[in-house]
Amino acid sequence: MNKILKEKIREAYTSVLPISVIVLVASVVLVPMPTGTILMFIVGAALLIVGMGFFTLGADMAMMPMGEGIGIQLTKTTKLVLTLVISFFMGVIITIAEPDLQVLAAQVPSVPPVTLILTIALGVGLFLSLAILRILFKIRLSILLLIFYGVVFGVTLFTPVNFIPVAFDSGGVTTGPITVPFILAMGVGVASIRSDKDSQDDSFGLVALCSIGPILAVLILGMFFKPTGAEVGAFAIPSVETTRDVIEHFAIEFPEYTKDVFLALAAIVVFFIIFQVVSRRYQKHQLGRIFIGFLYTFIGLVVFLTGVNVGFIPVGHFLGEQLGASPYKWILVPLGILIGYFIVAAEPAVHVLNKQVEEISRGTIPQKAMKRGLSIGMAAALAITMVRILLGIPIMWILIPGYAFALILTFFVPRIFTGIAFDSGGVCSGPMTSTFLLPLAMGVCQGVGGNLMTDAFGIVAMVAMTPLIVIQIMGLLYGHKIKTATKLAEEQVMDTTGAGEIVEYRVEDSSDDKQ
Amino acid sequence: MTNSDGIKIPLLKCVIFIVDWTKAQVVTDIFEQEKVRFHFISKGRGTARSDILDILGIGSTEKAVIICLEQDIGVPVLLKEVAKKLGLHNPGAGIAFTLPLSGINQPILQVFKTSIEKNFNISIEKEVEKVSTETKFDLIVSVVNQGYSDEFMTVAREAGATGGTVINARGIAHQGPVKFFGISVQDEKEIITILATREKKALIMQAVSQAFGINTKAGGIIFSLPVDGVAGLDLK
Repeated sequence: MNKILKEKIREAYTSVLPISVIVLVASVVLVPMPTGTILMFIVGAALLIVGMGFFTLGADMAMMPMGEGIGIQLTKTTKLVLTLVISFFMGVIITIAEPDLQVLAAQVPSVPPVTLILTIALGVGLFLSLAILRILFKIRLSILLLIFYGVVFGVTLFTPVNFIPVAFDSGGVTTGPITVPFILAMGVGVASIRSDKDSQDDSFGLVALCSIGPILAVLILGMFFKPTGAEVGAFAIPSVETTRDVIEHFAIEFPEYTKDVFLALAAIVVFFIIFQVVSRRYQKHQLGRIFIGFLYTFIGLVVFLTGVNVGFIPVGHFLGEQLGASPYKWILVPLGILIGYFIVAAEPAVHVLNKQVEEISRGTIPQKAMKRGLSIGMAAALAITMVRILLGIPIMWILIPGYAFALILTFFVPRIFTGIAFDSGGVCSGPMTSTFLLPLAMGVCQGVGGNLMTDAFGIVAMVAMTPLIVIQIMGLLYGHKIKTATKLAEEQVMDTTGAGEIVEYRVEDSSDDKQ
Repeated sequence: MTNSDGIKIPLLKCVIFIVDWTKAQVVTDIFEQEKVRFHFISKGRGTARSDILDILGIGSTEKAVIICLEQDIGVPVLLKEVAKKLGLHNPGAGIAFTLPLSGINQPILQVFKTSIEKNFNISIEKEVEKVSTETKFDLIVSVVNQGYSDEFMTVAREAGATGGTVINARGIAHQGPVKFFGISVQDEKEIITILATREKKALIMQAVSQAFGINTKAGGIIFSLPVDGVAGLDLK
């Protein structure tokens, strides 16, 4: 069988299988579920595997070369204003295209979805050009992060409490499967034609800044819109009796996601065609591959989103609600840790980040290490969220010390890790989070009888925060390893006598080149 | 070989491995074990066997290009070890070859001193297997502008090439780079390496020079290097 195909299929099912097994076991041991719901979950998981395979292949073929190419070409124009204007529009278009955002927008009460989406898109656009500016002017990422998170926490003082979790969630959600591969690749592209010694470190950090834009934008929006509390509609488990019902549920939703993803990708394809006409960067052969890549991305996202939205939302909600109302509430904490540890691999954008990290670091930060780090981060996020919902702890009590700690760490961690860590916050919180974890948290919240707006929302914010700390701690250990290695090398000082002397080999010694 | 002071100078070879990216760790582990100094890893892209597979995105695989220096009598051991661990004789598993050096700077040579003594003793004790110097292969190295490697390989394949590896690179021009806010902006290049038998070499080089030579848009600089030891390439 074809090597790459085999690799992609293996990657997809090993990502989705563990989390499916956990849920199935839980449905037998902890919370007996209606057969129909479980059947829908299994079909959803199968669609997830297929969709994920196509998506990662498509991202490799289309989104990454395109983002990288645009990044390179932008820098090559050496026109600052043009570069900034194009990055701004790129940010806006790609955010409007993000399907995750539409899911979130539909769930936020009181604000019309169009207003929310446009606000967020403006936020991303502004911060994307800011992030490009940062790479060009070589401003240290941690300083910008410190300033902007300072502003964010300052603004929260003036925003209604109910709005804060939604704002932080939108920061995580916006950076989903369409934006992440593109923005990540763009950063790599811009940094790649710089030839100074820090260029590698600056490849990351674009997603990090782009996640702040929406938070700030929504917080400011919150000052003008007064949401009226928990208006989130109670979720009804769809009634499913026969296998035909199962397929029907998927079939109804399928055209909807086809349309969403089509519009999203169409915007990007149009932009890409304009880019190609102006720059003539890609040759015939590459163009063919990029368009096939778009097709794969399209198929992958439609299948993935249908599977996860139809199959996973009811199960997450049901699981959460039953356990939240049961006397064994405490089991939610270990279960959350288990789910968190394994669910991160099912986020499509995570694979893109891990691969990019391995590539830029030339293999010194392997995909396996990244995966483990993110898994630990996600497990911590879920543990905190469950405890928070059960005890009703206000979100700011966790966000402020969490971010403060993460920001302090930036000054002690090798720079490349700061970029990767803050990027991974946005990357981890993708469609799996909004379609399985959010309903799970909402279910728990209903089961316990807590405040949906302040307790359940905010799980995305947690998922977006803990990896910042875990990946940076990983960076600390890595930096320590490098330091001891260089110390060891210093001990075996190289003999530099005759540094300019060249030893010549005579040709007949080395090879008999008879031509 | 001795230099003017009568000190024995080890003959060094440049050993290049091109293996699957996921297998790079296996090779570096062997390096550790064999005490190979100075190795560099760079990421390359294997070229597809057919155009259709390539367009469908399931043709080209990611490759690690690992370059190291090793003393000539250490090379057979190294090649054998890597071939054993990776099964280089299987088609597509990877290739390894050595290139002769024409010179090296003194301090690097000093580092090899300890292993020289050891290897020298071994070579006296018993007849050490030597890398065959009857070379049958050449490495065609082409540097072209970004984006031309796919078409380049199509032409090369028609002329008889069995495969190649593409490495992304940055060109450094004679005039110095364009500056943009203190950042030097440089041309992107692609380096295409093709290992070919001596008979096929001329044909391939002619074909690609005509289509992608220095006068074309691709601006290709094409040259070949003699290769003296090869592992893992079943070419007849």
